Amino acid sequence: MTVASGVGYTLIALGPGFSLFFLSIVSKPLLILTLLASTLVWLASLVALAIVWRGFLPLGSSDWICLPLLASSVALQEFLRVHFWRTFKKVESSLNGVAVRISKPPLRPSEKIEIAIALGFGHGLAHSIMFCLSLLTPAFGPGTFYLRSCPQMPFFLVISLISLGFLLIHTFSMVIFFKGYEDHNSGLRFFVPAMHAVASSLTLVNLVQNGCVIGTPLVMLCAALTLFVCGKSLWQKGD
Amino acid sequence: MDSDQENSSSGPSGSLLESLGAELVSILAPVSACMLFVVLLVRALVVNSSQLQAPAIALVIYAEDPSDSTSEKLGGALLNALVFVAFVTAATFLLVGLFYLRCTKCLRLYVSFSIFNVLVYLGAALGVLFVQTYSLPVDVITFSVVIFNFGVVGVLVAFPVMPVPIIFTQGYLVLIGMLTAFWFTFLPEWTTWFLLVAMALYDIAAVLLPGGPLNMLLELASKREEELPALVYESRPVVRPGQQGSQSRRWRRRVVVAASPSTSAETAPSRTSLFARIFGYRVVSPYQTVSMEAPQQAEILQAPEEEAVETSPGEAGDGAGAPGNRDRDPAEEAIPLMSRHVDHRMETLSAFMANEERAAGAIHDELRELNNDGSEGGELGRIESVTEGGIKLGLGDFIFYSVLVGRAAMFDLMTVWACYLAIVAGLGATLALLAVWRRALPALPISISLGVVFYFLTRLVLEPYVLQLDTRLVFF
Repeated sequence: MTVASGVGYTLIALGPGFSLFFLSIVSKPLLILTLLASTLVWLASLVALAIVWRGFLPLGSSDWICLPLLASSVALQEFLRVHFWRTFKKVESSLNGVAVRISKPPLRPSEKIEIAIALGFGHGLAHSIMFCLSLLTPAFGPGTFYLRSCPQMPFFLVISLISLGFLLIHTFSMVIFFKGYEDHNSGLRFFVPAMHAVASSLTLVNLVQNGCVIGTPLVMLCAALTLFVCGKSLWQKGD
Repeated sequence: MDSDQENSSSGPSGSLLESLGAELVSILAPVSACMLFVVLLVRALVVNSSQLQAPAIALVIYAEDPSDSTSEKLGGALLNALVFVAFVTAATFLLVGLFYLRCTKCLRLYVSFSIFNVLVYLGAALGVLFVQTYSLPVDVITFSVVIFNFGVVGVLVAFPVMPVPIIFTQGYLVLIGMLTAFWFTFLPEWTTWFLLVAMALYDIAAVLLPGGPLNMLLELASKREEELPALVYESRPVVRPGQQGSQSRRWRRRVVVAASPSTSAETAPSRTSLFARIFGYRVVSPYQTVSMEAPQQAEILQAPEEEAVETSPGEAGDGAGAPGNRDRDPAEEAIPLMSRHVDHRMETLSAFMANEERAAGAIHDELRELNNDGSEGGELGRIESVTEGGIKLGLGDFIFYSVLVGRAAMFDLMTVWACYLAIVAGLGATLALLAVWRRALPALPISISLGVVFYFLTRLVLEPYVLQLDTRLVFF
């Protein structure tokens, strides 16, 4: 309903993202490039998945296909995350080499965390745009939309909230993941795929009638948990 | 908190994250801005697209009609694209001819005229569309005065006849690109796609083939050491505020060892000494000749390279007398330079250095011309890497990127984002190739091909996938 609500939904989904972007990322060109690269990779993985599953769409009434769909998507993304880490290690050494050449200090730990944040934020941003913003376009016009299975909240509100949750999860999972590898802490390393899988499965609850009332807060809970674990792991570094 | 401490301690020496990639981001920003404007305009104004007139020159052969059969549409679109490319080729050859005959005044007049035309004609049409869509109360006299002023300032600024702050030039160039792109997105759909692909292919041919018009133009320009009259967006080197003194960023010069010190040393001192007298610096010329065994090939993504040896003004005068030392070992000197308040001098410095570069035969410039309705013109171009200035990107690239993204905007935001990422990735790849190959490269092909591929993939494959999940509120 009207531009105001459209803008409102966008801000719900992307508000923390915008803050993160403008505070940390926009002043550092390398982070902007990292962001774009990671968004591109996420998009490519999504396209690959879509090509594979195209034959099964439209789903019609067979909702159960969502389960293998989700499982394969989460698996692919977690697999790619490991490759992100490996690429980062390789790039890190060449970045440090460049740093020596242009008389700048090599990558500090906080800068590595910032790179991880940028990578994760790229995923989260791509997720938000694909799954949320592109559907918010009707929200700028008159009227609103309710799903039959979710008469309690407008459709746009639900997707904004869930997409906010996933933005946070994606962004900070990457940090936790990198920290896990750096500190050889396998607990953190396994936390990330587990959390991703759990959060995605929780959205399956939304398939049930009135499920979104339970599903959405649970996703937000996952996001909060991710934030907590991330903060705790960084805090232990001794700052 | 951790990051606060880091920020305060990273003050004077900067950090890696802040210095790398600044050039790339400085060219990405205006490209993104142009695309963003076009997308916003398309979404805000396309209420009833049948009333809008697309540039007629692209529809000379075939005007698409919704009731035609598919094969007719495809065939017609292909013909349209080919005719358009033919027009552009002819116009570019004409430009080469004029440049060869040294009709510089003629060329500059033409460019100014085309800028004026784009700004006034297309700008007024856009303004009228705005007024119509949103029922704004504007009277004819105010409107025409505003548009006229807008056009005149654009002519003075976009192709600068006098020194103006760079932000104006950049802003007006982006506006020109946006206006042209906006009206080009209203071509019929298939025509747009065929046109984009055809222009990308033409770009490759014109720049890389020896007989291509842009290649010839390039060689003429570098042989004659003249500046091309063209609409080219140039991003300035990044000078960070607050960095003063010798602790500030060190600018490394990309130096090529002089292959023929005698000839080049003669030309070098006169320019550099003149320059030095003006600015009190003594500048080592960037390279004497381009030789492929260049010792320090800085990566394209590094900080822009520029080196000025700071000397006392007294020494500047005898620059002509000592070319030898200066030319022979500038390589290792990383001299501190440049605080914010010499920005203006920076611009003149860069412009001067740009001319210097051309003197050394280092720069390749391409030029392509676009004739819309026979009366307006935009200058298309390609990417050129300038060692000391920013990256240069021709305006035509802006236009075609924005057309692609605008056309994607007519479908959905998902396609916009996918095409934007594809274009940015293509641009990055082209710049990387530029650093490797060190010659002029066409900026269109990689980006356009990636963009087209992503558009169709997103539209056909990704969108159903995402929608099916989304409407069931299942996310991952």
